[in-house]
Amino acid sequence: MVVKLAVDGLSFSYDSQPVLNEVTLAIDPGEIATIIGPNGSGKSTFLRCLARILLPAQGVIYLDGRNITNLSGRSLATLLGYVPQEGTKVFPLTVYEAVLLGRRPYITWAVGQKDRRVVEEILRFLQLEPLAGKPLTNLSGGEKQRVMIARALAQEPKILLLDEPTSNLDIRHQLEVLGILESLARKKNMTVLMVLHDLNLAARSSQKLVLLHQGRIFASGSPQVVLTPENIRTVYDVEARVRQDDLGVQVLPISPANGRAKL
Amino acid sequence: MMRSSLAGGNAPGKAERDFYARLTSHKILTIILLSLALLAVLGIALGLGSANISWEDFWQVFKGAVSPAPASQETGSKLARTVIINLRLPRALLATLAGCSLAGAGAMMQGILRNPLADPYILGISAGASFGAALAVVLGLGKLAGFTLAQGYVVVASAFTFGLLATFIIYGLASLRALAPETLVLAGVALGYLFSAGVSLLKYLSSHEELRELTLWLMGGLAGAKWQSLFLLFPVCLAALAFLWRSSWDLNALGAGEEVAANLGVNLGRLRRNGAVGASLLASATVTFTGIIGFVGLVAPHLGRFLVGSDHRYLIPASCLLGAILLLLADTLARTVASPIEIPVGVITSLIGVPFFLSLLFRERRRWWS
Repeated sequence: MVVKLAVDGLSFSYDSQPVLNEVTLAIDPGEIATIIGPNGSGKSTFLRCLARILLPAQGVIYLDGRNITNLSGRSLATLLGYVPQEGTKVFPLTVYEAVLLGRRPYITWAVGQKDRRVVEEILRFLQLEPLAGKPLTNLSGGEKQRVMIARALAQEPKILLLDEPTSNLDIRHQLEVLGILESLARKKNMTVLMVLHDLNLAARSSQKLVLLHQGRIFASGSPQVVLTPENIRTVYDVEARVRQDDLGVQVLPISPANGRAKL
Repeated sequence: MMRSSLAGGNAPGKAERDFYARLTSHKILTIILLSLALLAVLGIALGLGSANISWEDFWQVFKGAVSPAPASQETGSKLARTVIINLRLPRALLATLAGCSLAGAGAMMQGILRNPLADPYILGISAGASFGAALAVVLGLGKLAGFTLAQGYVVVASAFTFGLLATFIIYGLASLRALAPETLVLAGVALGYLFSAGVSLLKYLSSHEELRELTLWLMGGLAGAKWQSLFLLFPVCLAALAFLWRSSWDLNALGAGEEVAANLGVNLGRLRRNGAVGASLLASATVTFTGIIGFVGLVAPHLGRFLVGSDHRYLIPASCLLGAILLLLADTLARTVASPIEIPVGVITSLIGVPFFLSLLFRERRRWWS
């Protein structure tokens, strides 16, 4: 089954401070889309609204034509997996238990055969098998991020939302995580929507970029369309050189625009 | 089809299943061993005391109580029987139940607040409950000793009301702004002082007889244990513990973070509300019959986490058993170490608990909040 994600006129405000304004968007199944934009442009808020962690003031989010506000918590959890920015873990679980949490929407009390099979497949897919018995606190940043993704995958979602999945990772682990997402989209036809800060990583890994500016979509489309020097100057206030080669679009930031912040 | 599924599927799958089976069987084994340890400690608690009863007499009473034969008059001395059945047994069972309840409440509070320092005593819930119970006594609505069942429930209800009030103040503070764990503890301590001041005021206002009763009770003791209080406490605590245990998966999900829990379909508001009510009920009902006993609710869940990990399906029963063992040992020590003089059990649990609490606060700080 493939599920289409559509957002229609989404608005959200924190204490009458508007954060998102009339955001409308559609993402095809099997597509990797990345939300980019400067700090405070509403990227994470948008993702949290999609995961129904925040309730939008206006607008509707459709999963396969169904309004998500009409879905039960459990059935939403089986459609949509959300990986937040590194969460705090007060009481560390082992890797196996942490991934098993993703089965919570399917479990009432006992852990069944299918739950174990799903967890074991995901552990193998993300090469976490040797770590299964380790507590999360003993893992490196890259390993932790893979566990977080594994947990979301254990929900067997059709759509994966990730909030800055590459932050705090070195470049090798950044590429590793993005490689995982690419193979999920390609092999399992999963829809991936994430927030990234790094424009080059975003351009490399996504078919579609969504550039947010002050709570509105400023531009969206292929990396070539979105990442122009003009767009970057307007939205980020930065002069940048944009190059095109066999690996796609590359952005080289030069200096803050308008000579501001010249110290 | 049937054959292949019975055979356990493919080889790598089998290895993983074995891994999970090993993981859980270790936990279940630990819980069984803890249950056996509790029974052993119960036996010791029944056998030791200021009345000198030989183990032979003890065995006779035990046999008389277990066997259905009505020949119990002959078995064991009559004194031994009276001491064990009417004094030591209710006291030991009260210690078991109170330890269980405090540990269960502690595990729940730590889970819903995601705070390793949470405990009904430290967060001021016990102090709130003691104020409620004292208020009922001073107003003449109920009594702490020699009460009827109805009077007992009035005291419990009053303790529960104020224990719950304390919980919701703490919870309100925690959700108002993301308070640091230490700040929450400070707020709890402050709240505890407020309710203690209230209790002091009640003591000042109360009559001589009530005052004596209140003072003894507030020191935290199990000396007044009666079968009657057990009959009252048992159903309340059992129901609350079962209720909390059922939310294990939700607590596990919350342990991974609020956003993760929300994404996994956990109703956070309901979980927190139910958890707060259940934990307050456990702590308040216990306080009504034992006075304030500190630190069991803090120490037991941490020991439990050390033994069976953070999965609440196993953590809650393990913590309850550990709490029961700890309180039973502490009470046996309190009765026997300076026999025939009795040390308040709260003193012993504080002697164990305070160093533990301080080590948590300082030494383990990095591990939990890095």
